Amino acid sequence: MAGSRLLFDFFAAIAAASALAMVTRRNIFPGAVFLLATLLATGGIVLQLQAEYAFAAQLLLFVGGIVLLFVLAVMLLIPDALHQPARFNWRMFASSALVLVVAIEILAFFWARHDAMLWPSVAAMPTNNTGAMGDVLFRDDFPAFEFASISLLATIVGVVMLAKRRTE
Amino acid sequence: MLLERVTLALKSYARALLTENPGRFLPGLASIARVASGIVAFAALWFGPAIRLANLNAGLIFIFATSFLGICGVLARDFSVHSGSLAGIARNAMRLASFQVAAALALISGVVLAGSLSVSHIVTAQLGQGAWFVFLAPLGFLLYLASSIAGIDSVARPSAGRELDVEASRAESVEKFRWPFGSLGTSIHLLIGAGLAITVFGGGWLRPFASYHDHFAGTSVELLDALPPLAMAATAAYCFWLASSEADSGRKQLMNVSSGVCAVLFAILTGVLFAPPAALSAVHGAFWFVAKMAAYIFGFLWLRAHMPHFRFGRPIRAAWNFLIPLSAINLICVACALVAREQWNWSPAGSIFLATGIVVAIGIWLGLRDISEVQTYDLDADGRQQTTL
Amino acid sequence: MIPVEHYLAFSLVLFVIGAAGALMRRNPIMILMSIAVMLTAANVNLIAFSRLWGTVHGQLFSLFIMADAAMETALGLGILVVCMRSRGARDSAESEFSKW
Repeated sequence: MAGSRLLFDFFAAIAAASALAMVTRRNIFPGAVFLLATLLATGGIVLQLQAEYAFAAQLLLFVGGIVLLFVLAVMLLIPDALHQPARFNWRMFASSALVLVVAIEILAFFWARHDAMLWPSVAAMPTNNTGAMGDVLFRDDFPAFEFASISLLATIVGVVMLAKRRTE
Repeated sequence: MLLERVTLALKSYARALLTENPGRFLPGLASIARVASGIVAFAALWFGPAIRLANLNAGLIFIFATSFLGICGVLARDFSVHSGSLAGIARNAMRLASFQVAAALALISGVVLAGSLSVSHIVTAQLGQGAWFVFLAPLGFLLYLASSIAGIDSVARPSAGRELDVEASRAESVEKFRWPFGSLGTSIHLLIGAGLAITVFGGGWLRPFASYHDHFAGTSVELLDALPPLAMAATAAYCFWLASSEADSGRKQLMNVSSGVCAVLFAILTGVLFAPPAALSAVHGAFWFVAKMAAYIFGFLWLRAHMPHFRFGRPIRAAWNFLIPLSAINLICVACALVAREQWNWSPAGSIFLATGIVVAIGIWLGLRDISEVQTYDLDADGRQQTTL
Repeated sequence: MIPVEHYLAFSLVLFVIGAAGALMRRNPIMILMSIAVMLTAANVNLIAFSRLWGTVHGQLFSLFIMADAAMETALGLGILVVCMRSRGARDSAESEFSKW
């Protein structure tokens, strides 16, 4: 359907442009705003892939959690972290060029071997997305769930202990 | 698909910031962000059995997640207005986020009874279980109400002013009438909170006693379905009577217009009574949903105006020490009551009373434990960053 | 129906941009943001494949990645706050971040 194609192009363009804008800003605060835009656009793409729970979780966790954390950190560290002098470190520039070269190689691989790869036909997704995820989570991958909860708890306790101001 | 178009609108607003100096666009962008996130959340809310924009399987989380987007808008707005006290702004945002967490836990205790995150399934589960979840998980509703009241952002509220501007809040602590909405974004988020509460706890679009069918003599019209037209007729008559006794011509016009609107609605609701059941349930469902939302908002605003300021010192401490543990314990108790009802075959009333009793006891213990550290006003101009937990 | 390769190409582009940002920027907050973008790209990749095979395992794994991203962001920012506090809070930006 042409509509979904257009939608995908729109969201992908916004996500890529926002990510590019984010890594090239000199101030961090516009960087945080563009991070928000990138994550929202990626959420739109995730919704298009019929992953409804992942979309809602992306909004809740990434946007509501991570972006909020970043904005709070940026605001609390503003006199120190806002302005960056614009000078380039050639070592880092070279390493990012290396990343770009690797990416172009992978894309060329896709482009050249396009016909030889036999993608199986797209299967149908289960209709009750949340129910299916709950089934897999609580029956098959339950140790992963437990481990994630424990590590979340450890992270929370660790960050609180880290950030506690020592009373002199 | 429509939902994606709405998210599209939200994205176009986020793109508006293309300048190095965020100061120019920030207030407008902040209010747009709050309003847009509220409006987007309405896309996943169901107003009737078929009245909705999008049928999301995880709709409840989506509606809830967009209110977090609203917090970012609040941050931006506070940053543009009060750029001096950054710690106060951060603390305000933390207050909002903490109370959203408490509200989420309280909401989930109602969702547990439904077994699904989809908005339509939650309402049909309430129909199937024969009782709104406010009767099956009453403390969940109360905790959600309390967290929403404390967590809604409004510039007019003195405790928010205390965070940001101490002297002004001292001067404005005299009780006088304030428009309870800080901005359009606040009111839209209030509507979203009301819609969530009514959907999960209040029965959504269900008529009161939805499974009770008693007909008028001879017709297929149910007794309780006559309530909406009667209510509309009564409101029309009341508005008309108010209009006749109103001196100011502007308000007279307003009363006349509203009585006319109510009369039109009365005609629609009565006409739909003799229509096929699909149309009947849709139109009356929308009426009940809006009426219940209005009742909830009325109670919300009334409570908010009459509630004392937080006695636990800082509101964030009230959230993290009292509301969130209580909501979590309530969730566990509701889940245990559900297990007791379904697997051990207890009576519904017995399990609910036991769960509610346990949570009330723990709540009283938590409240009494913190009551010794009551502070009423903290007047130290707090520019330094303290642990906000 | 959008072929899966387009989603993979998009996630690759996003990942490369995030990686370039993580390598190029010297501000630790910017680096953390770029890492979040990289993790989002991995999420899109996983969910695209889960859509291809018609299961939810990819989406479930992406959920864990989201939780992990939140954890690492919180930890990174916490460490950053402690470092800023211990080095004296009001120094200029250059001396703080030129050592990273």
